[in-house]
Amino acid sequence: MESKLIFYPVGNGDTSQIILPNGRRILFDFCHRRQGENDESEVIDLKNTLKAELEQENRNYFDVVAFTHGDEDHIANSTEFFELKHAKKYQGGERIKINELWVPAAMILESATSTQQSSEMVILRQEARFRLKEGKGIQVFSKPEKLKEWLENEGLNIESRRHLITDAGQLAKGFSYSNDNVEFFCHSPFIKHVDEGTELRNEAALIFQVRFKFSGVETNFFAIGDSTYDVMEDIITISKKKHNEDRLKWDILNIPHHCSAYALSPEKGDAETVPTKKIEEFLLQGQTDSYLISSSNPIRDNEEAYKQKLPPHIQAKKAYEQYLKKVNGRKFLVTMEEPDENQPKPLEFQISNLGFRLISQRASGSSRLIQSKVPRAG
Amino acid sequence: MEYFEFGTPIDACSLMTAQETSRAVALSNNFKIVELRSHENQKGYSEIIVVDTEYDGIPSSNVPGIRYRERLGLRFFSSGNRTPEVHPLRKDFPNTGHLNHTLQDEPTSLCLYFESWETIRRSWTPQKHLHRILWWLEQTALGKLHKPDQPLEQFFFKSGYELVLPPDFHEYVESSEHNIRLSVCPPRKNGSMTFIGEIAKKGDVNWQIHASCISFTFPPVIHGSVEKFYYTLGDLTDSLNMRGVLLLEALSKKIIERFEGGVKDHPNDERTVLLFSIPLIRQAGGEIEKYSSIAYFIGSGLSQLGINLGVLERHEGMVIIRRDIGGSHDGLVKSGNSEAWRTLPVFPMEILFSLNRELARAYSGIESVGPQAVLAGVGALGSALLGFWTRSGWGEWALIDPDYIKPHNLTRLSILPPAIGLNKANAAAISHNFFYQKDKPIVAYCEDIAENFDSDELLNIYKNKDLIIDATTTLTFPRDFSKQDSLPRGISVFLTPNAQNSVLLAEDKERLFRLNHLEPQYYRFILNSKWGDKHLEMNQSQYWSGAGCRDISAAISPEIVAIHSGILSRQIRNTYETQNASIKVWHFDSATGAVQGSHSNVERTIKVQMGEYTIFWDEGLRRKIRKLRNESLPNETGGVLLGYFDLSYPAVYIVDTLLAPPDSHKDPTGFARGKDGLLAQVESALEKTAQIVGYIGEWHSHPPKHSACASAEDLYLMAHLAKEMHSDGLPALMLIVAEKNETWNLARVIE
Repeated sequence: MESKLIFYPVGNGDTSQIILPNGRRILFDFCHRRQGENDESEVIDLKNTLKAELEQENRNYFDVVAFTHGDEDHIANSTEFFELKHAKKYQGGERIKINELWVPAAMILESATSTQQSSEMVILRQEARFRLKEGKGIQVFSKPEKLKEWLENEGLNIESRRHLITDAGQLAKGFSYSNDNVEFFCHSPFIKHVDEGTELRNEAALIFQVRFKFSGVETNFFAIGDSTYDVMEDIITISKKKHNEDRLKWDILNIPHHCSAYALSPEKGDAETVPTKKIEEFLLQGQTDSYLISSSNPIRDNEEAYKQKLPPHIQAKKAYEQYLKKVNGRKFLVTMEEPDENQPKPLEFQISNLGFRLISQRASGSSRLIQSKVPRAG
Repeated sequence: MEYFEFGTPIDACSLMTAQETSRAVALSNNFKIVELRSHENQKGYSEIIVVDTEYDGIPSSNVPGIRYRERLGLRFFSSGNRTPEVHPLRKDFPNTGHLNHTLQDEPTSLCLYFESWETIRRSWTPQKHLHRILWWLEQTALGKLHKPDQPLEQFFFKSGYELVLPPDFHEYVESSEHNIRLSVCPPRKNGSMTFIGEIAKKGDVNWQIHASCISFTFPPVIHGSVEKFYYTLGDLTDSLNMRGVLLLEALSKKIIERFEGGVKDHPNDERTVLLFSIPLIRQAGGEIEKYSSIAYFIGSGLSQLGINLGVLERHEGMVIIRRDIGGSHDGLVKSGNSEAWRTLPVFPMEILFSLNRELARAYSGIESVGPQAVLAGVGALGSALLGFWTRSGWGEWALIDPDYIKPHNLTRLSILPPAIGLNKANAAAISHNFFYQKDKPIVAYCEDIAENFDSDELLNIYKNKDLIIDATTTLTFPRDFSKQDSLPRGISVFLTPNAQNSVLLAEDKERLFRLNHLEPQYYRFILNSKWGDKHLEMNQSQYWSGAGCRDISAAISPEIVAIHSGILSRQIRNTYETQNASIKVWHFDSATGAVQGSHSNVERTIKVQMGEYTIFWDEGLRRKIRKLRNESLPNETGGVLLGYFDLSYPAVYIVDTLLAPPDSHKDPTGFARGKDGLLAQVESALEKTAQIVGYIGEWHSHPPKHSACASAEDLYLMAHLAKEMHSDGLPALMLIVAEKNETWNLARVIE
């Protein structure tokens, strides 16, 4: 009996999937890059990869699709891939169904500006609203005042939708150790951010500690889409205050925001980012043999890289690696670097009563040859 | 972290394989060179590349305790015939079990390869070697690395000494009535040896066997702990003392017990085996879940061991308990009167279990326990089938065969020449019972009871069985068997006379379809298939009386028997797992080696009682005849029925119909069956069915709105048929097929 946890190489973006021993599938974010459809591209053809995986299991649905937030690199082309219930034009054909949609409350509330109206974010928001109004096929995380207001404006009250809403500090509904060998502990969004924040999207993203348990052996996957150091600090403070330190442990950490230095500290630093004291506490929650996953483009260690504004930041990687060593962890892995930069493959963890391990993607020379084109002969 | 320092540091490797491997290590993502060393001992000169390995495939919380990072010594020998060794250097590297026994001055070594270096080197590359190391670490961590015939919790190592034990030997280790008695296979060329242990009643010391076994039970141990290797009796004793096992005392006591009253000093007393049975529990104070075992070989006899331990002495050609220790031996065994025993070398033995049915099934890839069954007929086919099923542990068997073994049987029966003159069932039981000894032995019945279903003895044998395999090559057995309602499911198998074909007829689990229902359908299958022309072809057909098609006294090579019995064995196993009845045939093409299988649908049998006769026909034939009727409308039609009588029943089996001959007359009110080509067709049917299926009667149709009752014309026809058939001593048979139903009419001349 085992679970799988898979990270897909989608460039600077996020897509990961959990497959439980009972066959249930949970997809975190969806970032399909058009260039992935081209054979030569290093980025994976996510649509066809997921489709093939589902077909193999005779499925046309995910049990859960969680959009951690509405940024393009977490939802790209999702509205072409999934069947959406709120409008006919997103239905039929080979579209993949979503049994339950998980979204942060901000995704229901956020009002897009006029230039964003056409974006997929708006379509997904309509879908989330539709499902919430229908009262099924959705789980909304956090329950800010604004959500209450929105429901009231729609002629609904919060009580009638309570079974679809999960607050920070609670477990996501519908999963248990006994049925699924897993629990999703929701760390974020928590209320103050939605109500106080101005830039709502990243700050109010979904963050879970996903705990797998097989015969008492736990594996903790910390799933963070995008986040910044101050959000993480709040999570640490709240978790400690509520005696949930245990929920800060991680064996596999999906590093926030494609290895952005600003998830560690307000300062990127020249050679290496110095995490804030609070963040340091969190990094030291890594367990023996743990892995750090940067869902990002390859991280170079050259002069240019140190000047780079956008993540991934080499300075952040250096810092993470320091702490990984301190906790006697295993490896810092970059999705676009494994097993090699030219042909990245999904990173697949096997999780069982023996703990967790990374399944080797490295094929023998001959098998690599027969799976690829070779140069032209003269 | 503490590591073994093994050998002495060197600057560079001189051995080619070591040089190549260090280059491969440099390019590998999983290995990093720490240093280079060399070592010299009785294995010769070797060079060691000390590496740190990291492997993501290692599960984080694996049971044996393999780590993500391990330090290893990759060791290469100057001698061209030594397999490279890989030594884990971490001092607390777990005794995972899958290790080679090494010399005393060496760290343990991973058991990476199963073949000799001679074989391995033909495809060995340093890169593959590195992959193999990672594979070992991963598989060990996953708990998947063990040889199929080894107990799971045991060491997995190559040792020169093997001990084969009954799987249940633990129960006898501390028995007051039983010993584990060893027999010793002659040492092999390289000095390695196998000892076979069996449970024997305690009795006189028997030095015919050149080895003694002293067995002990340990206090329970928690699952997952694996034993370490020791090299001397002293070390072994010390380590056991630390866990509360006073080996010295226990051993001395057991030796004294054996030598009570003195035993003649004998040169055959040359080897001793110490066997430890270790109960495994899940938690302290818990129940014993299973047993693990360890054994050590000592190269001196029990007498010498006792003398070294200071409890025995030699006296006038006898070995006796030391006279100076008096009646109570307690003081002596505690102190250990001598230190000579401490340095006695001990060698770990690989423990293997002798075969039991469960293991046999596992090695054969068979999950099902199989039936409790009777095999009727232990001839060429029967004995071959029994051979497969015994070897694979499938089923528990009783055998029935009245026949005995003649010299020519040796060519086809899996039996050795000394069995000539023995009853076949007995001989088969004796030889196959060697496999599982006393465990549910095969029982043989030699009386001619296989065919006498009135016998209580036979019915008792069949009682509580769930399968009867008919390999009798007779028609009698399956037909009579079918008449019995109280018996379990039957399956008939046989080879055809030319031995190119084999046949399986299987009743369904409910026995709605009996063997005698399947037999006529099998013949129809022959008559209507292309392969049927030669299916029952025989070399000496003139001798055939039409009483069987299953005899194989013609010349048949044992290969053919093996081919067909292999197919039938598997098919019987498959059939046993399903509910349904089946009719299957296989044809072997001796020129190409191809085997062609065909199967027929099984049709529901329709039984009609006509006076004392029971008529058997089936839905398939009924459909065929009704179709002919409909196609001919508005005219009547009809034709000849093919089948056979079984007058002992008495029964009539209807097999098929022939089309109305071209010179038949058909009109809306009548049908007159012609004769053109009929003889040839009936003769052909007889030939194809070993003279069994021939003319049996007639059928014709009635037009719509007419009943199936015989008309005046029909009665006249019946009289004619009856008169003609009477000359064969048989009744006449006529089937009338009307719009909705059919009637059977049977008539015979009464004198």
